[in-house]
Amino acid sequence: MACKPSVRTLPIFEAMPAARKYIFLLLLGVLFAHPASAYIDPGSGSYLIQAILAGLLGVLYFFKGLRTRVMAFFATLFGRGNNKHQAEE
Amino acid sequence: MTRHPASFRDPAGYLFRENGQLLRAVQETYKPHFQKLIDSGLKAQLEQTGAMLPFEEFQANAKEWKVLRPQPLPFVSYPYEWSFTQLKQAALHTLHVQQAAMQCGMTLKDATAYNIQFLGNRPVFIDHLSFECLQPGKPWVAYRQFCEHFLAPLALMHYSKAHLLPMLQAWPDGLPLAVSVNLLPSKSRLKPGLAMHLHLHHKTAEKAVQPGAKPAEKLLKANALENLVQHLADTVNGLSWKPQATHWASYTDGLKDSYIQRKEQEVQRIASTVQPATALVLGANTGHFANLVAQSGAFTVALESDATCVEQLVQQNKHANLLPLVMDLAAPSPALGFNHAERNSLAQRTHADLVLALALIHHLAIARNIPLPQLAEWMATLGKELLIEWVPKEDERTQWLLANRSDVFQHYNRQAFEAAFSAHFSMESQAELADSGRVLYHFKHRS
Repeated sequence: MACKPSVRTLPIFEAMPAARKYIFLLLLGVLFAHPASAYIDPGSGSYLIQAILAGLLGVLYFFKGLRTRVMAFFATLFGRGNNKHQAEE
Repeated sequence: MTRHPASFRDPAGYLFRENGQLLRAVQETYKPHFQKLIDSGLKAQLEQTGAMLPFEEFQANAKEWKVLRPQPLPFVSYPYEWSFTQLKQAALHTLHVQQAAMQCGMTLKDATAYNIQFLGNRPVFIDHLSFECLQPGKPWVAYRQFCEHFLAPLALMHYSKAHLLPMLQAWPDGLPLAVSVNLLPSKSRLKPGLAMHLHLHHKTAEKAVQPGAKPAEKLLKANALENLVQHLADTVNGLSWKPQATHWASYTDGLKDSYIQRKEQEVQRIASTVQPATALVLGANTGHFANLVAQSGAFTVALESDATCVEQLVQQNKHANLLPLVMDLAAPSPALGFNHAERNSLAQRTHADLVLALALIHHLAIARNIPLPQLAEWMATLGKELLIEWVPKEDERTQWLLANRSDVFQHYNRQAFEAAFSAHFSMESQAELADSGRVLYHFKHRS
C-alpha cells in the first residue's frame, strides 16, 4: 500500500471531458466505497455532516477570500495598501 | 518487555517498557504511513517547531518492523486535570498538527485530547502513529472525536462559566454529542461554529444511525477538509472562559510581609540545597511559591483545586517549566480506564525530587478531616524530599476553618505532626516563619 498509488486508466476514461470524469469517479466512489480502514469509529453521521458542511464552508471561505481581495484592491487603490493590510492581519 | 496497558487500540503499534525506557513498536502494516511521515519532511518540520515530541529510531528486535524511542516526558497530565486555556491550547495544537499534516499529504487518524501533553507551558503532540496518508476527498475520520474531546467541553465551559473538565473522568472517550447538545443553552445555536459542529452534527448523526450501517464515504471537494479544519480552529478561538472570582484567588491577601519574606528565603534556600530536577507543589494557590521553585530551574508541577487560580497561573505563563494543573488533593486523580490501567493515578505518575506543601496541612487535616498519619503516608508516596509548613490550630486561618464547626481535632498539634511525618521521613531542618507561629519543615524520605 503506497501513499499515492499510480493508476492505470482505460483509454475511454482518458477521452472523457473533465466534468464527466468527476461524475464517473464520484459514482465509482459511491458504488465501491471500501469500508473505513480507521481503527476508531468515525460515525456515519459524522461523515455525512462533513459533506454537508463542505458546501456551506466552501461558500463562507469563498466570500471571506473575496472580501480580503476587494479590501486589498481598494487599499492599494488609495495608496496606503500595504501598511493597512498588514495591520489588519 | 512490559507492554503499556493503555496502548492497545491502534493496531499500527504499541508502547512498551524495556530496561526502564519507554519505547514504541511499529508494525509493518504501518510502513507506508511511517515512510511518508519521514519522506515528506513532516516529522522534521513538527520536531523542529517543537510541535511534536521528538523520537529516534531504536534498534529493532526480530518481532517488530521498527522500534522508536520517544523523548521522555517529565510528567504526564490528563485533560481532566487541565484548565480551560490548556484544553483550548491542546485543541488548537491538534488542528495545527492536522494542518501541517495535510500540507504534506497526510492526515490524523485520531484526535483525542490524550494525544497532547504539556512540556511545562507548551503543548506537544505525542502520538507518532496517528499520521496516515491522505486520501483526497475522504472526510476526516477523527472529526467526531475532535468535537467530543475538545469542542464540546470548551463550549460547555464557555457558557456555564463553571470548570467542568473533571467530568472527562466519567467520559474517557470524550463528551458525547448527545450529552453536550442537551447541556448547552439554546443561544449556543446562534454561534455558527457550534451550530454546525455540535448541534447539526448531532442531529445528522442521530438520523444516520442504523445498526451496522457503514459510513458513506462521500467524496469531498478540494479544500473541503482544509476549510473544515480552519473552521474548527475559528470556532475554538471564539470560545473563552472568564471564571468568577473565588476567595482563593485573593487568599494570601492580609498575610504579613515578614512572614512571606521569611518563607520565600527558606523555600529558595531549600531549593538551592536540594537542586531538584522535578518539583511538585501541592495546593499552589495563585502560584507565588510555585513560580519561585520553577525559577530555580526545576520542572515544576503545581496542583491546585481552585480552577480559577490555575487558569490565572496558566494565563500568566511566567515560566516555561511550570505546569499548573487542577486537582482536589483530598481526592487526587485515580487510575482509570480499562482494567484501571489506561490512566495512572497521581501517585503512580510522580516521584518528584522535592514536594512542597505550603500552608496546606490545615486545609486537608481540618477542612477535609484527613488524619495527620494518613497525610504523611500519602505525601511519602509522592517524592524524595518534602518541604511542609506546619500551621497551628491557633492560627487565624485555621480558626476560620473551625468557625462554624465543633473542634474534633484534638490530635492536630505540632508533636503529633512531627511524629506522623517522622514515621516516613527524617527531619533535615525546621524554621520558624517570623512571628506567625507557623514552622517550615524540611524532611527527607527514609528509603
